[in-house]
Amino acid sequence: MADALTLRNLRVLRGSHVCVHDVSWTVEAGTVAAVLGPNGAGKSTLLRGIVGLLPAQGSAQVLGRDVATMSRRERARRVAWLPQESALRTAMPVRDVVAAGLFARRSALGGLTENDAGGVDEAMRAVDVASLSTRPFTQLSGGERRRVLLARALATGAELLLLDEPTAALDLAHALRFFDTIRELTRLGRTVVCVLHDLNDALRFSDLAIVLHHGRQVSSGRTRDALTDDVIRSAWGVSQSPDAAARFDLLESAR
Amino acid sequence: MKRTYALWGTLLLLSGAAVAGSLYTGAGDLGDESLRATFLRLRALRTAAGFGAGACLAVAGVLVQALFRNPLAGPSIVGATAGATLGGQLALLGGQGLIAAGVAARLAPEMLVPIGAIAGALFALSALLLIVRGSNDPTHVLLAGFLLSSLFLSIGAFALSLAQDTWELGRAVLSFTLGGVSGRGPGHVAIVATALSAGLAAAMLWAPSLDVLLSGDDEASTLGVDVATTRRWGIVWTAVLSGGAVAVAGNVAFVGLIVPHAIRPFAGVMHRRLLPAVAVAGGLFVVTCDVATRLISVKANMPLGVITGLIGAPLFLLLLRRSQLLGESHG
Repeated sequence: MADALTLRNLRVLRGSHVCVHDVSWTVEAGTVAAVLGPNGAGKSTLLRGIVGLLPAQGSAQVLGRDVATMSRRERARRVAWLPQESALRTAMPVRDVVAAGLFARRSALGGLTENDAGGVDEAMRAVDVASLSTRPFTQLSGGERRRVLLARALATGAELLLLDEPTAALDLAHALRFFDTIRELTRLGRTVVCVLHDLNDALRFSDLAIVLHHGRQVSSGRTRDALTDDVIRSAWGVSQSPDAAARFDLLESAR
Repeated sequence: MKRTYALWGTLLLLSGAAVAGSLYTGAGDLGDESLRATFLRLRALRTAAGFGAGACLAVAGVLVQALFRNPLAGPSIVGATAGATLGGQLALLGGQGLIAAGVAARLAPEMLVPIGAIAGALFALSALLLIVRGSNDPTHVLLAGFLLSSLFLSIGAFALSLAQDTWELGRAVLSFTLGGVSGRGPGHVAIVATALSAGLAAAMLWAPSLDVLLSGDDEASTLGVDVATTRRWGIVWTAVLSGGAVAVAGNVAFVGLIVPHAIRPFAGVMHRRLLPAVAVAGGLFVVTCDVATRLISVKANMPLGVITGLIGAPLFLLLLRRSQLLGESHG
């Protein structure tokens, strides 16, 4: 399978300070990959470096193309980014928020084509926000806002989705539904890289993982191989409980 | 869709009434057949100048609020109108000298004030952008705008005192500083119409970028918006609109702040729907205020900015309070 994301000695900087050191990681197309690590490990910074929001050295390639050589619009068509917290504080209708995902695919003068409108509808249905279509963004709950922004990321049509704590504000059912959705997306050939805090979620839903600690790569590979007892102990300073974690499944009727 | 029709119907109806009110209000007696055509012509030019200036300021207000992602921003709040006023004053002071010295030989004298006003607004907005760079704090923008406005007004007062040495120049600078659309001619209407059509067309063209920019620089950038270019051109067109309005009507405060807020609940926040409605509403607001200046004081001309200020200042305080309560931007 082709590689969707290839990082080679990627360093991400804030000013002159190196926040993420020499990360080398390969994510195959059509997989779910988790970026893991304790607070301050550099997980969000790594995503910001890949998407070009922070200066980076080394190389980040998406489907064989170096991100640094892509135009802004091309990058937006290939890589979607969901931030930890959106800066949108406007009473914009939900449908218009999601349609903003198509910005890089539209001409300056053109409105939404029928095909575009279909893509927006599909993205909204995928994360269960179609019923919120006309609601102002500012009147939504934290979880609803999260899903709307996720729909915007899906609407971009990008092959690679970089999601920063996508399930942070979601209730249990919507979080499980989200993982169902991204699994479906990967079946359609898209690749999802998401920052996760819950190691159980990572073990259950991701194929690949990278663990960061103090901005350095501690381990990477298949999730079960990357998350060894030693890695968990050294990065998080905790040990796995012998009791199995509570596991919840989405009811068939809720899918 | 119903709401859009209702909004446009209301705006056009009220605009028609305001224009009719402006044509038929004033000291001159329209019953005198020999002067009727002259009075109507003068009032039509005054109305067109006022409408254009209001439309320019309202569109500039939408641009400034989007560029700074600050609902409390407006051309007068961020120092653009004060900068434009200073630019116009300096153009009046130095312009005659430049023309006499042959430096500005190719320039029509009546273009000096508009060019000065646009350059002043451009300088003010660039300075503001430099001061608040990297800050998303609305208070920071307001304080920087207040600082710049105060600075420009102080320098303007100094320019005014310098102009008093020559009676005619002193009168010209004072009249420009007080503002208003009384006695405006076809040249003024042409200036404001040019600024409005260019500024509004550019704003409509940039509207999709401005929509996405409401999500903040980082999100807009990853969605494909060239944030730096959008902001740079937005500043230029805001300066053209503010400068054009100030060159014709002087320092008319609060229009760019109040009008977009009044229209957003009906037109929404998406710029291609908002901008045309705001332009008409801005024109309507200024023409109505101008009619009020004639109704309140018939013998002496009350400056237009006094009326817009009297209405705008309390509304601004209400918006400030609402914004603090809701913690939101752009209504």
